[in-house]
Amino acid sequence: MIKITDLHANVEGKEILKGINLEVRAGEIHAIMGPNGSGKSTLASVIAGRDSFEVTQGEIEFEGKNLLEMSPEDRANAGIFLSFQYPVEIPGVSMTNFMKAAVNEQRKYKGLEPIKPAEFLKMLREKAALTGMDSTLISRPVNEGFSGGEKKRNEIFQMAILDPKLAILDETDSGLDIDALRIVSEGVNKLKSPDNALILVTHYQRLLDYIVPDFVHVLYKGKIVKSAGKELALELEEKGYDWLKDMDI
Amino acid sequence: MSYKDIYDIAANLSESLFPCYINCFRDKAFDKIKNSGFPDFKQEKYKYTPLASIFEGEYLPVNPYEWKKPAESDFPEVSDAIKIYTVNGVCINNEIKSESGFVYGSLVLASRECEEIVEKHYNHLADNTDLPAALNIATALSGVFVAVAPGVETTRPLMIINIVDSDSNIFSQQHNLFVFGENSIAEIIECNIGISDASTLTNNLSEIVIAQNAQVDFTRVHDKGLLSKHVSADYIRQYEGSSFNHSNIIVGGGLVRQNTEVHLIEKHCYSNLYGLVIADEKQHVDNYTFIDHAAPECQSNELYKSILNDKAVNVFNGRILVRPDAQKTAAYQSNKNVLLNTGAKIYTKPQLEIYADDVKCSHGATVGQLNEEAMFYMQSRGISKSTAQLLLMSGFANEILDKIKNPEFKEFVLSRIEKKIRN
Ligand SMILES: Nc1ncnc2c1ncn2[C@@H]1O[C@H](COP(=O)(O)OP(=O)(O)OP(=O)(O)O)[C@@H](O)[C@H]1O
Ligand SMILES: [Mg+2]
Repeated sequence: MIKITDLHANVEGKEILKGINLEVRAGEIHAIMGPNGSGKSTLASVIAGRDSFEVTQGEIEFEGKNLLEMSPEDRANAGIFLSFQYPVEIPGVSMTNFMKAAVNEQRKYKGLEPIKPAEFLKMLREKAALTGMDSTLISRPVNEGFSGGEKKRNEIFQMAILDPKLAILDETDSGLDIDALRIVSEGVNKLKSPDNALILVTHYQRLLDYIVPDFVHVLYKGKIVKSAGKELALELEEKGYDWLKDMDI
Repeated sequence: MSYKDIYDIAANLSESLFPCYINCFRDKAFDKIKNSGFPDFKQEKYKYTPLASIFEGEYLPVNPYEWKKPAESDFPEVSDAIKIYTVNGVCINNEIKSESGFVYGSLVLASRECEEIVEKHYNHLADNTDLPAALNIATALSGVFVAVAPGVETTRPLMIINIVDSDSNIFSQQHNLFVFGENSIAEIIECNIGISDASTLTNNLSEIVIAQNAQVDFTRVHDKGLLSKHVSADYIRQYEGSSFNHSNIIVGGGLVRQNTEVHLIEKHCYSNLYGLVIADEKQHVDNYTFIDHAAPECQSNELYKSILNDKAVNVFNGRILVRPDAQKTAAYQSNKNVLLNTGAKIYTKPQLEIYADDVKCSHGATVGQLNEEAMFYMQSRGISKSTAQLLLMSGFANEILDKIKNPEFKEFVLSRIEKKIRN
C-alpha cells in the first residue's frame, strides 16, 4: 500500500529523517516506537504532506502513486489519514461544518454528489457511537476547549467518518483514560479490514494490547534501527532505550 | 458643484420641506464648513482618511422630489421585516405609519406630524464640530424617522434599505432620527446597497435615543460598489438601565467611514459595539468609535474584526472616555485583524482616557495571518486550500455574524461575504 524508500527530510535546514525505509501492505498493522525527538511525528507529517518539512531525498509510493508530488488534500482524498499528536483548535468553525466540508471534498474526489443533510447527520451519529465521542462536542468549534482525551477521541471520530485506507495514529493513546483507550481501540479495530492498514506511533505497550501489531519498528535519530514482531514492544517496555546508546548510529 | 452651491440649493428647498426648528441649525453648521476651508481641513480624527479624500470631487446634489423605485431583486429578503426604502437618501414612504409597535416614515413628514418628539431630539445628539456632521446638518433634506413608544415591545424587525441608484455622480445625504421610549424593545436593520456604477458620495447621520431600560438592537451592513464613498455617523444616547447592540458590517464600498459615538449618560447602561470589515482590492475602510462613560456602573464591550486582502486599508480608532463620576465602569475593547496579503494595511489605535479610579478597562489589538496549523489540519482531512481558507475566514467572522439576530438577514450577509471571499 505504501512504500517509503530512503526518505530524508529537513526542517529549518536540520536533517531529521535520515534514510527511512518502510513498507506497509494492505491488512497490516505497524507500530513505530522510539525515544522522544527521534522523528516519529516528522515521518507522519511528511507522509501527510506538511510543507514545513523539506524532503531532500527518497520516495514515497502510495498505491502506485508518487505521494510526494501530491497536495495534502489530495493525499487525504486518496486515502491517507493522520491522527495528530497535537490536534489543532479551530475557533469559529464547528465540527459539523468541518466534517461536512471534508466529506463533500472526498465525495467530489470520487465523483459523487454532496451528501444529503439527513444522511450526513445519521453518519455523524453512528460514528460518534462507534468511537464513544460525546455528541455535544460535534456542535462545538473544532477542538476548541476540548480536553486532551476529547481531542484524541475526536481524531478517531474523524477517521471513522473518512474511512481511510492508511491511517497513521500519532500517540493517539496518550491523554486517553483507561476506559477511553479501550473504547477508542475497539473502534479502531472495528474499522480495520484486510483492505486498509494502520501505522501506530506509540510509547506504550498498553495500546498494543488492544490493537495488536504485525510489526514493531524502532525509530532512532531519524532511522529505523530495529524491526521485529509484536514481542519487540514488550522487550522495549522492559528494557527501555538504553541499549540504543551502545549502537553505532 | 461646490458645497456652497449645495448649501444654497438646500437653503432654498428646506423652507418648503422642514419647519424652522430644523432649518434653524443650518446656517451655523454651514459657517463651520465655510470657515474651516473644507474639505482641505485636517482633523486628527480623520488622520488616515483625510476629509479631502472623501469630499473632493464633483458631485451633484439629489433632487428630493425625484426618484424611481429600484427592482426588489436587489434587496435582501427578510420576510417578516417592516421595510423602509430610501433612494439616494430620499425616504420614499410618503406617510407616517404605525405598525407592529413602530411609528415610522420620512423625517420630512414626521417633522410636522410628530413635531413634539422630533423637535425634542433633532440635532441634540449630533456632534456639530465634526465637519461631515456639520455638512449634513446644514444641507441634508431627507431622512428616516423611527419611534417606539414607551413600554412597547415591537414584534418584527424594522429594516431600512438605503439604495444609491444614479447614472451621475451624486451626493446624497440623510439625517435619521430614532427614538426608543422607556422599556421598549426593538430591532433595526439597516442595509446600504448601491446599484450604480457611477461615483457616488453619501453622508448620512443618525441620532439614536434610547430611553430608560429600553433594549435596542441595531445592525448595519454596507455593501456598495468600489466607486462609492460613504460616510456615516451614529450618535447614540443611552439612559438608565438601557441596553444597546450595534453591529456594523462592512463588506463593500470604495471608501467607508463610520463614526459611532455612544454616550452612556445614566447608570447601568449596557452597550455592545461589534464591527466586521471584509475588504479587498483598493477598499478603504475607517471605523471611529467613541464610547463616553459619563455615568457610573455602565458596561461597554467592543469587538471589531477585519479580514483584508489585496491593497485594502482598514483603520480602527477606538476611543473610550471614562469621566470622573463614572465609577465602577467596565469597558472592554478588542480589535482583531487578519491580513491575507502583504499589500493590505491596518492602522489600529485604542485611545483610553480614564479619569475614574474604580474601573475595569481592557483593550487589545491583534494582526495576523490565517493560522497555518489550522490550514494544514483541514487540508489533511481532504479539504482544499480555498475551502479551508473560506472556513477559517467565516470562522473568524462568525463571532460577529452570530450577533445578528434575524436568521434571514444573517443568511443574506453570509452569502454576500462568501461571494466576496470566493472571488
Ligand atoms: N518545526 C520544527 N522546527 C525545528 N525543529 C523541529 C520542528 N519540528 C520537529 N523538530 C525537531 O525534529 C526532531 C524530531 O521531532 P518529532 O516531533 O518528529 O519527534 P517524535 O519522535 O515525534 O518525538 P515525541 O516522541 O516526543 O513525540 C525533534 O528534535 C524536534 O525538535
Ligand atoms: Mg511525536
